[in-house]
Amino acid sequence: MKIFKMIKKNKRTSSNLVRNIFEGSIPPDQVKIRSKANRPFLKKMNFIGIVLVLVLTIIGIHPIISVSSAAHMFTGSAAPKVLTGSQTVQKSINLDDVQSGELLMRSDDSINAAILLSTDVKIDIAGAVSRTIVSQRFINTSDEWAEGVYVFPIGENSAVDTLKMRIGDRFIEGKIKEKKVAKAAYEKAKEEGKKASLIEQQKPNLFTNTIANIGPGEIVTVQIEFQTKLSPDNGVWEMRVPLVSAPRYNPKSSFKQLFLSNFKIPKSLINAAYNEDTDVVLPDPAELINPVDISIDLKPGFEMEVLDSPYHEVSFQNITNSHKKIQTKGPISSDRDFVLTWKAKENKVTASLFTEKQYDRDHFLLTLNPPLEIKNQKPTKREIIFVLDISGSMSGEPLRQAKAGLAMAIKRLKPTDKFNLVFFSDRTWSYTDKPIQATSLEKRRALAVVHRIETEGGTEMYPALDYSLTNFNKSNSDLKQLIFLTDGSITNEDALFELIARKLDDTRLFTIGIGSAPNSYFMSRSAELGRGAHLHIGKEAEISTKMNELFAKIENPAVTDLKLKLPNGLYAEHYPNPLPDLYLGEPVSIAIRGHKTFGTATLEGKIGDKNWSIDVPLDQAIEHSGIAKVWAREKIANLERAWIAQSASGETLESINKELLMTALNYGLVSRLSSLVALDVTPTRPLQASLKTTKIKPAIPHGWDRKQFDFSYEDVLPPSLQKSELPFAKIYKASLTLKSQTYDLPKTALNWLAKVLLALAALSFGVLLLWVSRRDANA
Amino acid sequence: MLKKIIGFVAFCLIALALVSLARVSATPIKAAVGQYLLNAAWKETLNTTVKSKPWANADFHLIGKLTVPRLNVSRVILSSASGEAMSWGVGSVIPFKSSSISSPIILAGHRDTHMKFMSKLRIGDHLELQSHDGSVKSYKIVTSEVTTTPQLTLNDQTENNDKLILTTCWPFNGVQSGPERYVMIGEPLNI
Repeated sequence: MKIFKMIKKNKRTSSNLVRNIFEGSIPPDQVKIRSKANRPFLKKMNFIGIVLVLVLTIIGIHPIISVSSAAHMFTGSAAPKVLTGSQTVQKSINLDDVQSGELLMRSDDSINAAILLSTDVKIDIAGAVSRTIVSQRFINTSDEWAEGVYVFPIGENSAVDTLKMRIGDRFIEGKIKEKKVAKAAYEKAKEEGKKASLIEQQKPNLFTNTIANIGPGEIVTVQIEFQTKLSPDNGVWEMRVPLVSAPRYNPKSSFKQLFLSNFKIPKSLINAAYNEDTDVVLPDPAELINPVDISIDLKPGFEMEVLDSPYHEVSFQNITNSHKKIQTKGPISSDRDFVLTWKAKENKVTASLFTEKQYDRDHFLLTLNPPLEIKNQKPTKREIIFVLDISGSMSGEPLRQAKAGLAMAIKRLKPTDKFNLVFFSDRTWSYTDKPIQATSLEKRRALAVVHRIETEGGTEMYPALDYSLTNFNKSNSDLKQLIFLTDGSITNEDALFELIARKLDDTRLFTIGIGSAPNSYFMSRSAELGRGAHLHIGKEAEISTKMNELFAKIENPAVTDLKLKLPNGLYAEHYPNPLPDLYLGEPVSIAIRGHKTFGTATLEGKIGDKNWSIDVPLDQAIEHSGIAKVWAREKIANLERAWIAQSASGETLESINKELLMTALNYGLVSRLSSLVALDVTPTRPLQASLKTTKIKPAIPHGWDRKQFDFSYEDVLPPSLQKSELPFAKIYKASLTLKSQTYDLPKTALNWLAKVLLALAALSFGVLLLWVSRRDANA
Repeated sequence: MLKKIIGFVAFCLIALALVSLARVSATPIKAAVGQYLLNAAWKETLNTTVKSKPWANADFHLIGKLTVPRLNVSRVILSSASGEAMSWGVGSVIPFKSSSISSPIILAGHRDTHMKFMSKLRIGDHLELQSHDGSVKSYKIVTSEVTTTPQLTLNDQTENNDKLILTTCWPFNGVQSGPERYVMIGEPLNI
C-alpha cells in the first residue's frame, strides 16, 4: 500500500513539474539545476553497483547450480556409470539403422554384415501397386559356423509373402501355413535336426529372417517377394530400391577373428575402407564386389510425361505410351539408392484397370488418378468442424503441437468455407452455435480462442462426437468434414459406432490419434465408414506437421460421392467399401473380385456440383500377376477389422476366422491366423558339412528361379576364394538376438527450484532497489 | 526523476517476483499434496479392487504403488505419463496391462519431485510394486545408465518383459531440460 501511494505521489509531482515547465511558470534551467542537486555522485555509484549485482545474480545462478550438479556426479553415493551410445549398440545392431538388404552374422559379442556378392531386383508396377523380387547372394567369410539374420527394409506399405533360400546345398522355402500347423511343422523340423524358422515381420517397415547354421565359406542366396502400395508425392511417383548400407560399428578384435588365416580374401573384398584407427567400417562401394542388376516393368496406368532415373544409367524400352521396360546398364554401383520417378501427362482424372484370374475368379485393381489441379473448377464449398481433445493428458507438448496444427488449419480456410471448433474434456463446448463463414475476422477470433485454450479434466468422447455430428448446417451443397483429434483410449466403442452409424449422414470423418493409447481400430474403422482418413501420430514432435499435411490434402476434393456401378446381373465384392472421396494428387485404388465378369463398369461421382463419370470396360483390363493378392490383402484387412469389432464386444464369430484363414491360405498371405514358415525343401542328397562337396551341382527344387539358385561356386566366387580348405563344422551355439524395442521417455524435469531461486533473486533485488529509492526520498 | 524510475522498477520487480513465486511454488505443493491425495485414493482402491480415478475429472487412474524400503519412499503410480499426470505423481510410460504382461513396466517421474529419490537409489536396492489386488512383487535394481537421447532401446523384448524400469531426467540438479535420461532397471526377485 505504502509503495503504491508513494508512486502515485511521485507521479503527481512529476506531472505537475512537466505542466509547470510547459506553462512557463518555472524556467527550464531551474528544473535542471534542481534535479542535478538531487543526484550526488555517491548515489550514482550506488545505483551502478546494484545493477551489477543484479546482472551477476542472474548470470550467477546458472553456473552455481551446474557446478553443484557436476559435484554430485562425483560424490553422490549412487554415482551411476555414464554409458555412451556406441557402447550400448555394440552388442546389437539397431535394426532401424539397416538401410539395405543385409545378412548380419554374429561372432562372440559383435555383429558383422556378411559380404554381399550380388543383388538382383525385379519390379513389376501396375497402377499404384508394385511387386518386387529381390535376390541377394552373401558369403560367410568367417571360420565359424554362424547364425545369421537376413534383414531387408521394405516400405511401410509393404508385406513379404514369398521367401526362398539356398544355404550351401540346402534349400529352404517359406510356406504359408495355418499358424497351428506352421508351429507343428517348425517343431517337427527342429526335432529332426533340420533347420526351420518361423518368419514374422518384426516391424511394419522391416523384413527379418533368421538363418541357422551357415557353414564357413558357404554362400547364402535369399530371395524375397513383396508387394508395395505406391503413392505419388505432388504428382511425382517414385520407386526406390535401397542399396546403401549404413556404416557399422565393428570392434577391431572380433572383426579380424572372423577371417581365416589360411583363407585369403582380397583386400577389396573386406569392406575396403576398414580403418584401423576409427574402428568404423565404411564400405567403399567402388571396391565391393556387389554387382546390382535392376529391371523394372512399368505400367502406371496412364501416359507418362516424365520418366527418369536420376542416379543410375538405365536403358528404356518403349512398349506403348503407358508401358515401359527399364533395365540398368551393366552392374551398377551401390553407393546410392536406385530411384525411378515418373509423372502423368494428362490433366484430368484417369482410370487404369489390371486383372488376374485365380481360382476361377476375376480379380481387378481399378486405380483412379486425379491430376494435381482441375482447370476451371469451382472451389468446393466446405463445412469443417474441428474437434479437439483438451483433457489433462494432452497438456504440454501434445496440446502445444495440436494448437499449432489447428491454427494452421484455420489460416488455410478459404472465405467460401464454413467452420466451427469443438473442444472436449469431460465437458464439451464449441466456438459458435453453428459453423460460420470463414471471414478473416472470424478466423482471427478463432485463432485467439485456440491460442488461449488450456487442458482440463478427463476424456468423455461420446457427447463431443454426438454434438459435432449434428452441428453441421442443413445444406446439401457443401462437403461436410469432421476432424476428430484425441490421445485418449476408447472403451465404449460399440456406443460410439452406433452413434456414428445413426448420425453420420454424409459427413466425412477424419480421425487423428496421438500417442500410444488411442484405439486405432476404432479410429481407422470410423474414418472408413465416414469416407475420410485416419492418421496416427506416434511422436509428439510430429503432430503439427502431420496435421498440416492432412489438412492440405483434404482441402482439395477432386471427385466426391464416388460410386461403382457394375453391369446389370454382375455381382462383385470390392474394397474399400464405401468408396472414399478422390482428392487432388491422391490416387484411390479399388480391389474388385467377381465371377465370370463381363461388360463395362462405371464410376460415378461429382466434381464440384457437376456430375462426373468414367467408363471402365472390364474385358479390356490388362493382365498382371499379383492383382489377386492385392484383393485378398484388402479382404483380409476388412475381415480383421470385423473380427476385432466383435471380439471387442465380447462375442467372436468363428465364421469370420474361418473365412479369413481360407483367404490367407488360398492367396498365400501372412495374417493373424497364418504365418510363413521356412522349411527345408532340399530335394535329394543329405547335408554335407564341407565345402569341397559343393563342386557337384545340387538339384534345384521345382519352380525355383534357376538363374538365381542354380549356380556353381566357380560361377559366383572370385578365384581367390575358391581354393581354400575349410575346417569342419563347429556349431556356433549362441543365438543372435536382434529384436529390439525402443521406448520414448518423457520429459521429467520441472526445474522448479531454479525458478524459485530466480524469483527470490528478483524479489530481493526489487526490495534492495526499493530501499535505495526510499533512502533517496528520505535524503 | 531517476529515483522515481528506480522506485517504479522496484515495484514491478517485486510484483513480478511475487507472482512467479506463487506460480512456481504451486509445483512442489501440487507434488506433495498430490501424493497425499493419491495415497488416500490408493487405499480405497485396494479395498474395492476397482480401477479408480483419484478424483472425478482426473484424466488418469491409479495402477499401483511403488515402495523402496531402504529409503522409506513410496509412490502411487498413475496410468499416464503425460505432463499433467506426472505433476501429481509417477506415471507409467506404456499403457499398463496388468493381466498379460507383454512389455516391461516403465515408470517415469520428475527428477525434482517424485523421482528425486532415484539419486539415492543404488544397484542392489529392493523395490516393491503393489498392484490392484494387493499382491506385491519384489524387484532388485541391477543396472543404471544414462542415455544420451530421450529413448530407451531394449534388446530381445521377451527377455525384458518382466523388468521394472525407472526413469527420470539427467542430471539430477540440472537447471534446464535436456535430452539425457537416467535409467535404472530392476529384475524380479523370485521368492
